[in-house]
Amino acid sequence: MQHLRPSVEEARSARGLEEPRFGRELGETRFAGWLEETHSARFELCRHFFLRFFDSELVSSPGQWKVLAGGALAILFSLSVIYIPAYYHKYLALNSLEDPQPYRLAVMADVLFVVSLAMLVLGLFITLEWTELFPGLRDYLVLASLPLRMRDVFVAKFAALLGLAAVVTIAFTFPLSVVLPMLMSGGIGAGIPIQVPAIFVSSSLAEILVFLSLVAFQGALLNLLPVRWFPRLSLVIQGVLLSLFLCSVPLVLSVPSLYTAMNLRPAWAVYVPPLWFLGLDQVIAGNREPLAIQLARLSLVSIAAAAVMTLGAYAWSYRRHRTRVLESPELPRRSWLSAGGRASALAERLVAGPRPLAVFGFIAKSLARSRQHRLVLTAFSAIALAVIFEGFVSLVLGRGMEGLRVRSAALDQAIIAIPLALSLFLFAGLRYLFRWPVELRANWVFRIHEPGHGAELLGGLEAFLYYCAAIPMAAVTLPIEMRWLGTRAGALASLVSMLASFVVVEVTLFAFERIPFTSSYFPGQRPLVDTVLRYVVAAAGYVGGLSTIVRLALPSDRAMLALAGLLLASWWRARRARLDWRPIGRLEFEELPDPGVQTLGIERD
Amino acid sequence: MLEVRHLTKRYRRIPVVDDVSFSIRPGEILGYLGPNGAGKSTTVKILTGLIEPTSGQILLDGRDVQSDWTGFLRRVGYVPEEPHLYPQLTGGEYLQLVGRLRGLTRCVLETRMESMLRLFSLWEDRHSPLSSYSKGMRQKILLSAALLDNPDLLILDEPFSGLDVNTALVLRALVRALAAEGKMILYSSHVLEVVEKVCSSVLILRKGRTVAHDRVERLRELMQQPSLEGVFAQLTEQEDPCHVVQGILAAMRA
Repeated sequence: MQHLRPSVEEARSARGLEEPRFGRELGETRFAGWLEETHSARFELCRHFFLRFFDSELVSSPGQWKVLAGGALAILFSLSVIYIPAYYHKYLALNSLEDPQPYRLAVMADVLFVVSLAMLVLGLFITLEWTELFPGLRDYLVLASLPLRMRDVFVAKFAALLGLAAVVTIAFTFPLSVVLPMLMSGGIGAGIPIQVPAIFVSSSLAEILVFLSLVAFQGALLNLLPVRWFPRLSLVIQGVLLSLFLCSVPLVLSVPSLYTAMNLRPAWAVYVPPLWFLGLDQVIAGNREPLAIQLARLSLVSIAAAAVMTLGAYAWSYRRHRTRVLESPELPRRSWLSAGGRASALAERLVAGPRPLAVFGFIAKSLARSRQHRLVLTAFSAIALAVIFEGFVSLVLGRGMEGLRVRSAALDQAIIAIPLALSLFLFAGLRYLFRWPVELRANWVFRIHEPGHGAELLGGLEAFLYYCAAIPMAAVTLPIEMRWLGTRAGALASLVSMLASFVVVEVTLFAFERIPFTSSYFPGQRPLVDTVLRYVVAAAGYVGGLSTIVRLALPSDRAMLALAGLLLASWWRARRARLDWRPIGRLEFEELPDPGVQTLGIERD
Repeated sequence: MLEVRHLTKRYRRIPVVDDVSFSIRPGEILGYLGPNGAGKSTTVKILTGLIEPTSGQILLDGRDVQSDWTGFLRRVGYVPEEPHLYPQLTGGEYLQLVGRLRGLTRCVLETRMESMLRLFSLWEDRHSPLSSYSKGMRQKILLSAALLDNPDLLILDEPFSGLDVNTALVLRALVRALAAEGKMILYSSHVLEVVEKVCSSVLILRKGRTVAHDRVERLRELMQQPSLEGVFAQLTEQEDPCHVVQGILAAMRA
């Protein structure tokens, strides 16, 4: 591993650079130079693994994660502009009260909010990096011929992972643990500076618990599951975790409003991990209440246990994982044959013509088998579930479980919003995914068969959206609507939601002249703030607005039928507009420059 | 007959294919040769519609293919240089996809698919994903897909890549038999021994320009070389291999 990189002096002399003159510049250059140097094999491996965390197929090109991170920071900054003045005025008011109790409860609720949010953020981050938590087949194959010990590979991987978790933890926790106590300080909150280390330590440790638990969980799966099962089950678990974390967003965001509950001492507090770290915060801040001490102790014990399990999983894995991965060939998909055959026969009945059928089958198989595509679709579905869940959370927080038992306008609206939220985010997710190539270089097979058949091929895409998304979604949500809204009203609400989803299908297809998964355009190039704003507006208008209209129309069959008629007309008009607009020309693929030409740094004419 | 007239492709004024002309008659196999970067793959991509030429004409049976590009492609079978396939599909599904894209009816497609898969010894692996296929197996799938619709013009770009000896022998005989049936075949390859045995004539490119286009025997006579390899080395001004080897050895010791 020695001498892979030129020394600083060689590099500098090769570039004709002079020695730096000023202290700051000198410091920076020394560090950059140190990074440029070749270090021990373990360090180089660690550096390699650390940098690979930022190479994701979810972004368009290497280094684009910086753009995404910038977008995320812009969103955080925008939110802080709203939240900081709000918190300032909230604590100004609380500090001016005679009774210190409301202030104390609000502090506890906000600390619990920060702890929960920290756990959620790291949980989401580690879930997105789920496939990178342990060395994988690609690592074994790439590193196979190098003079490295397997122990070094595992140590480096774990160190890189720990480094990443530390960076995310500090970047997220530190600003919050400084800013929040500053906003809390004042008359009653004179002793609040102690909250700076208290929030920082408790939130950081809460994040570390999430990190260690997820790594230990995957380590246990890796070692306990038959190796052929692991990839399939791993994707399911990743999807479930992603859904759980996203669905808990509304719950976490509502924690600050639960300040009245902070005075309760429920026995089940010992089973809720964020409360353990609230206990730790309280103990660091000087609270010697027995429950706080018990919760703090639980937090430390849980971290120690998770750390032992994680190290154990790594130690267990490195001796046997490589052999298990390398010596277990992929099995043919025989077990799926009968189900696949039935689905194929059904598709042939529904979709007319071999070319639309080819695209229909290609989309279905790609979505069913491409790990990344399924994961992204799961993420969009999870966002839809989070939006749905939010409606129910506000009901439960407002009126307890009674809010779910007794029929009310809010409950009706939450039920009506289910198919609307699902259709909005499912179609948004599909449109996003359709532009994301599965194997870009293989698209030649479509390109050479596309001329003259563009409209036919797009027919396969249309059939897929109607038969595999809009109609099944209506069928799945129909029983829920009928159970909660009554048979007649539920059926009408479902019909209206299905027609609305048909309109969304047409909007999705409008000006979309690509065969899914074959174009060289990578999504994710629009600024993140712009994307988030679009989704927020769409969710508010389509899910919030339309569900309100449906709820208001629900008591009258005539109003519901009129609404259905209106949506049917809108769908027909949108469909005509799409079909009339589309010029029958070549579909979009966007060729890549030839490798030889790429080397010259030039592109096509 | 396929005629290519004055075909040119430039990338920002740099010609990659420069005024290339040739024709292939039914029953003829044209060997399309040249060192890396000579413009072979670019020509093939133009012929399959993957990229557009800067200028030039392609005619099939005297008619400009641009006037009916779909009709032209319906008569073309193509084996690309790199086995780029959708890894998530199985071998059988890939052939089904290609057959459907070519508009083959289910009955015809299934019969041909089964025959191809059996004849290329892929029947047992038809339900395995292409990601698990060896290079040779992928090449067989590409060949099967190219032959699925009984094309009049076959464009083969390194068709022997990764094939085992037995399959290579079968393919060599198959290429001759297809030509005997009146198919036109454009055969692009670096394996000169095979080209010499299979092709009726060859075209050699260098830096995008045609440097030779004639029958193999005639080229050998003209260049006074015992083999096509010698002709090729002389026309493309190959660097002395011994000199390159010495350079590599010196670099290893440096």
